[in-house]
Amino acid sequence: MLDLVEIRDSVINGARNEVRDLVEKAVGEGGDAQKILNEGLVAAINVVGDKFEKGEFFLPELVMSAAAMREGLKILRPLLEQGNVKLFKVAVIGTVRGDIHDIGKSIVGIMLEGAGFSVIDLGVDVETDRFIEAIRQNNADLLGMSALLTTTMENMRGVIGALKKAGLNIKTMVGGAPLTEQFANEIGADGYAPNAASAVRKASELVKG
Amino acid sequence: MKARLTWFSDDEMARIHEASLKVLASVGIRADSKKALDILKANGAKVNYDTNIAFIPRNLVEEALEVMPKTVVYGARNPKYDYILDKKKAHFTADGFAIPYIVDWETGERRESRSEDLVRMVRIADYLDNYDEVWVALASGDLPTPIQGITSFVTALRNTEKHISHEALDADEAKFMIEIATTIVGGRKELKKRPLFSVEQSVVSPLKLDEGAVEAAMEFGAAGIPVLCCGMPIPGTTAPATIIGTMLIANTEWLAQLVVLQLANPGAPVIYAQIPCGANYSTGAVIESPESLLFRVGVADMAHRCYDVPCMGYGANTSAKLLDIQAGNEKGQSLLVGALVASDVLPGGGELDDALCYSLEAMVIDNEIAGEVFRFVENFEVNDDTLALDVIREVGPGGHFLEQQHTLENYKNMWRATISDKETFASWKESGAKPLDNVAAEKVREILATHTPQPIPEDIDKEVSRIYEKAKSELLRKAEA
Repeated sequence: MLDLVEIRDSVINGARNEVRDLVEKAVGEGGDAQKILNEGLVAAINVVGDKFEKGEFFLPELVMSAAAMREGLKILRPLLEQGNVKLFKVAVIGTVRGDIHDIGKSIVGIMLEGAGFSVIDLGVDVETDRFIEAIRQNNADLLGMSALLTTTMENMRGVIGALKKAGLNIKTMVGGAPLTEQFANEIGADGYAPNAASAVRKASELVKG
Repeated sequence: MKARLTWFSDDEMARIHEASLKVLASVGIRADSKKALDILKANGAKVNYDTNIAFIPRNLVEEALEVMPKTVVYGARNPKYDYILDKKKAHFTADGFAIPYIVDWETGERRESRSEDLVRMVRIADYLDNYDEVWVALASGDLPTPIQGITSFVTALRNTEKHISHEALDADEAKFMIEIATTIVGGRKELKKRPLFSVEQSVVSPLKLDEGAVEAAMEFGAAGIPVLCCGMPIPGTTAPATIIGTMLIANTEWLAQLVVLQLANPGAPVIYAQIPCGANYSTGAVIESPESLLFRVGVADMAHRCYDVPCMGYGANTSAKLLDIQAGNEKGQSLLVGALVASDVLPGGGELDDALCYSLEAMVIDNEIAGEVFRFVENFEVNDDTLALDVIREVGPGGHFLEQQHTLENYKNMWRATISDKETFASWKESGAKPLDNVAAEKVREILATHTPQPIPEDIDKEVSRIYEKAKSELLRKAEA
């Protein structure tokens, strides 16, 4: 008998090791990976999202749960992707050239993984060419760019321009403290998010269908 | 360790104390109360009954300091709100007493305060976490003057489960208040153990004990009700025009009250509650000022470090007439100083216009500021867990701490805003771009619509009503006579 409730609660509690052990056990006992994913991990992350919206959970809980979810996915991913070319959407993320700020972008990365994305985090001070290369190599669905400085946020415009020139059809989203929705529209990004939680929502919306 | 603020050196405090003894022995204290003069005379003070001046010798002061309790218990209708004033921690409360005006919480207009405003004010203080007790702030301008005090007292007891603080104009009013509290708590002995209320009884600066105030204080002392011995000397008008000379008057007045109260009832609970203040030298009125702030440090020094007794100094006080930047500045500074000196009683919540006006929205905002300053003075231990060396080792350079169990266990100790805006511009705008007083007004409406304190049990409340009715008719009759 699959104990999905226990898996779900462990993800909600952010108990990484417990999630790993429980998912391993469930798989070992012949549990259906898709079912474990949907009714265990995804169900949990939905609860966590709700609690965050209601102000019961904050960033540390969110990140701990996403990290716990990631542990479970590590086990499920090879099983689910057997035969399939690509089951999970791929997001390439990074902080743009000239900017070395890391934490906001990293939080978004962890949470995107928690939401079921395969995340390629290129780190900080990322040149336009590296973004393009990573997108091609990983057949990515989404590019997330971050900047903390008004002097570096302009570099996002350059990346989006280069993507078009390269003929890459990929959804782009941007974020970071000095950014606004207006700026995102102006530079032709597909989406903007003011914080990590809404970034994940926006990302899921953009890659749907 | 905790962040703490002190001012005087030990030598300086000793000099102020010695100077106070000189004033008491050679200038004397005027007491317009035969009862107070008699008790001073019976214990060796030289008394001139023509001028009502008593010259208090050193030994009486020293004996009073010896016999007074060093900590004070504040009981509450609900025992979960009991606490001890132990000179280690500031306790926030509303402002008092008989504040004549209120900024109407619906129209925003300043008007005379009425009895229903007091009900609202007390309920809000009952609800808000950082109010440890409730000072009975507002006058009931709709009632005849002689019964306003007793009515406010009963109203407050009925509308909060927390400790309340009030004042009495004379011994008769004091007796009724004691009788009502005795009924609620279940006997005089129990009231002494867990006094449901405390009182602020004032000196008239400089160096004069008012008949009604001091005789009421003596009644309260006998019943074990903590007395906040209070005076409000002002540099240049009711005290010398120096900060230190004003401190000397304040200290001397407190010692005079202490001697009378301890002679009348040895061991009666007292609080050093002098509130010297700065002044507007055009009108003579008290104001919030850097000097007012400094006096709070001086008072806490004399109380805690020189005499080992709990103290009171003003807290969320402001001269501002509305909830503007001046109000925020003055309230914030003053509460922070109060917290840093561990002012055992730290009032002022909801106050505007140097205690002439009141605001329910200000109560909510002051609650937020109090939460901030209390966080500031928490005890922070330096140990293996707080140093978190292991966690730093695990994360390493360039990593982040969000995925650490240690973070999950500890981040909730960090201060979090309840009404202040800490959002991004976008989400602030999305939620209506509200200024803080609008947010506070919404909170006021929410509290009034949802919060009802536990009432006094019906049979006891019946008895309270009986005493209250008796008090009203006697106080009215006395006023007419």
